[in-house]
Amino acid sequence: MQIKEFMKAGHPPTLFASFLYFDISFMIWVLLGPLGVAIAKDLDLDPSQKGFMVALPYLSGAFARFFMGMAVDRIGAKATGIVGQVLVIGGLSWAWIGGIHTLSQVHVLGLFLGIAGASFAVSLPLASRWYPPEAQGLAMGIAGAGNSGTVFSALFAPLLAKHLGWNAVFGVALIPALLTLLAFVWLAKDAPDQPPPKTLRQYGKVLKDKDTWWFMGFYSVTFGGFSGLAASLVIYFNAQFGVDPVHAGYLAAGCVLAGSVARPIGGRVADRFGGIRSLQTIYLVVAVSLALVAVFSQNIALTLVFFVTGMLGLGMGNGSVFQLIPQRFRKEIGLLTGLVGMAGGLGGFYLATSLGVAKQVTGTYATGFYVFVGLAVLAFLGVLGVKRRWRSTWGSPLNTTARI
Amino acid sequence: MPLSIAVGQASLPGAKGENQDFAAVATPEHDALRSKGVALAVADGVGKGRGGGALARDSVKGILSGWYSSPETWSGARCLKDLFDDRNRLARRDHPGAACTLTMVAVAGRELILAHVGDSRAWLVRSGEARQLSVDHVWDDPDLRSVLHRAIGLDDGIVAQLAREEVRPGDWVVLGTDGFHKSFDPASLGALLAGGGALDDLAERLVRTARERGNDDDATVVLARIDDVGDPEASWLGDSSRLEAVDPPPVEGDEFDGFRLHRRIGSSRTSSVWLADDREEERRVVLKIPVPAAVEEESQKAEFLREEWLGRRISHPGVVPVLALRPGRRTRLYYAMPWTSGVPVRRILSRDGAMDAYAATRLGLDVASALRALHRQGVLHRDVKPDNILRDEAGRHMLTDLGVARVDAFADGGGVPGTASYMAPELFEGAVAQERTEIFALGVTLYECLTRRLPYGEIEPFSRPRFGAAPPPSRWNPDIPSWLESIVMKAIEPDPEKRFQVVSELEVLLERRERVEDAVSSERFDARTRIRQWQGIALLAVVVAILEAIALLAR
Repeated sequence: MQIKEFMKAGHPPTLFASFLYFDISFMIWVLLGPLGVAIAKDLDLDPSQKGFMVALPYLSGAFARFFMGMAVDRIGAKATGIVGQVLVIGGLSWAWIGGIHTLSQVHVLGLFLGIAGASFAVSLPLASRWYPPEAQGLAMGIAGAGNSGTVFSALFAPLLAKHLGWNAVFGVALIPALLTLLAFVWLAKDAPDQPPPKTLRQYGKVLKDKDTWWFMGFYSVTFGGFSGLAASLVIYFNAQFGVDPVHAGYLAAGCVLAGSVARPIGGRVADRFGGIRSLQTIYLVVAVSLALVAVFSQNIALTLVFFVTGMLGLGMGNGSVFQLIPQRFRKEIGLLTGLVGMAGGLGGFYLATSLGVAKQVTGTYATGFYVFVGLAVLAFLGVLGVKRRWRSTWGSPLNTTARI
Repeated sequence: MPLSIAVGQASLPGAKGENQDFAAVATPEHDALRSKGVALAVADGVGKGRGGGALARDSVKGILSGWYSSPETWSGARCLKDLFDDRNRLARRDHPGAACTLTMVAVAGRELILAHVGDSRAWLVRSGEARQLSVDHVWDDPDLRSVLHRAIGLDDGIVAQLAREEVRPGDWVVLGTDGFHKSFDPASLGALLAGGGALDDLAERLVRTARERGNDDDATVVLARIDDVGDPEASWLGDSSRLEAVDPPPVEGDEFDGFRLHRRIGSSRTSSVWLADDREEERRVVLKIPVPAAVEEESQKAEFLREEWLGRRISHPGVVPVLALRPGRRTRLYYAMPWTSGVPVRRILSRDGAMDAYAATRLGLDVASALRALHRQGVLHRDVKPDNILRDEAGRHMLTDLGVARVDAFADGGGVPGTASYMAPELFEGAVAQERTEIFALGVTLYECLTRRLPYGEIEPFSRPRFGAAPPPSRWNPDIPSWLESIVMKAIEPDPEKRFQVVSELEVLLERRERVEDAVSSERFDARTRIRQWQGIALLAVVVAILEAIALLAR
């Protein structure tokens, strides 16, 4: 689809508002990661508590996505987005004004931040429903490029924490949150044709398809890896190499940027060579990269290099999965993005927590990485199976109305 | 509810003697009513001393009988275009010098289709309002007012006006020659038709009124009142629409409807194929049983039934047909095919390796012949590949699996189905399947049979690959004769303009073992590869030189 046609086909203000909402939400969602070192110092947290703290928003995000997805169908994406944003603003305000003094309060905040993570369930349908089916992939890609919000968090949060104290960062985050809410209210509009709400029965039907589960698995590894690392990198660089939070933030931002930028590239590669074939290579690259991170855990330069290659792979994997979904699940695309998004969140929760637990129990992060490498290898094997099953006829003739 | 139409007609000769008009109506029952509907036609002969009346009669009878014997797989428009050509051609041959108008309307399901040339007219009357459907093919000049510029027998070529309309219960279709309509205000038609009574009498009254108004030409009118419309789905589904797929997946030994499942011989995402014993008819059959999840929705079920419908209507030795079972025999959704000793070519390739030129040529000819027959019937297979070609003990090949076939008679819902590695490049850009895309698939199939490789590599579904130059098959199998290679290469040309345009082109060359005339010679490919090889070596040499230089400098 040409750019000009694309711009005319949908509703650019909504697309922009969705992208912005998603971007800022992502930034807020992963906020605890970069602040993790500072918070852990003040609250005296051990590695597994640190891991769980940064992972919790992913867990609550995964569930929030599901419920927000249902809300989107019933009250509209715009209304749901506003409600979600208001809740997030509420949570941030509570944290800033009241102050966070205990671990449980951090957890409560984590739950609220998870709602920001569910913005995915709002932005993607809001933007893509304006566009015809053949352009929905691109629309979702643009709205979904909001992944880059994570980079901002890693870049600025530690710096702000250093100068203003980490509690104040929640207050600072209120500024973009409020601005986004305003822009969202003003610019975003629900598309005129709303598909009917998805029923549990439809979810049941789609869950009977093996491919649904494989896609959920694939995305839980790629997005789980991307987001899990995004949450854990600052803590890792700090704990493993003693880098101060601000510089760790810069290093983390670099890695996350690689992952973010790689997403659309992954989509393009999938388009040209086939998503399944791309995922094959990607999982191998990710497995090798993260294994080498564990191997070279004493060498910061090599660690950085392999985190970047790993993130490039993970980012591309995200793009490939989402290139395949609208085409493979043309009719059930809403259902799939909801389920797959949830799986991604759970994957992120798992990785961030496991790294913390590994460090706590074994003294090093290595085990956490190796288990994830194992998951990537499993995903690789799964891809081979899907590849074999997909070597068949696709598409229905769609011509069953007889005419004279 | 089946289509229900009441008809009537009347025709009065004009002052000049012999009636040169002719009209007829066909009101079939059951299957013909469902697929072709009720048909009405009028013709007004021109050229009294030259057999205009005889031409009118022949044309009307010919077109009505032609309509009912035209293939069900063709769309109505295609049938009518063809029929009008025939009528015109026969008119030029059998009634030289004469001409006639011809206006025909067929009503089936919930639609009517009009095909028309000349100045007779067709109207659709709804709620008392008459709307003229036909266009008057007369010169619009006061001096030339009644000179036809389109008519049967007028010229060597003919272009009929074709139109389609939705019909509702209570609608009337009226056909009339100019002896009738020249003195009739269509606005008054609505009121007159509301009068009621037997339609033949009503028609009689209409033509007499036209005569009274001073029109002394032959006057003819045909009336059709639509009492009930048909259901477009049921029009071809018939009783099978009530069949449903059964949940537990079939297993060996299952018995139902007089069939006993013997062995599964194939399965896909959407269905499984079984060898079975037909107890009732004492024969072996092959049953195709859909997976319930794949036929849950009505549209999916209709697709499966369309596949069966189509299979029942193709009869060519190169296509596996579908068996007609005793009505009411089936209690669940599946269809039956005759048992064949055919083995899928895919399995033959894995078992025996690549084919030789003779076997591949045989396959090419058999499949090309089958495709030609399908195309003639307005059907595009859209899934030609080794998995869908069976070879029996006698070495004959048959196409199977019409699951994604495109049928002329069915409205195209869009979508481009097929198997990615066999799909022509233009299909990835959203083009519509045509003969050329079928040829591409056959070409890829032949390539694969000869070399066990795909010319453009394995293409994944949902991707949009770039098609570069494919290595000629002789690269993998030097024993392939160059004439066969040239044919295969032309069939798999990425540019549709450079490919074979019709299946028979390919077929003739295969039959005669002839080389393609404008073939790109293999020498050019070899030269390109050779140049590349030398370039590679040169690059390697340069790199080695640089490394050595560095090593020296570092010393």
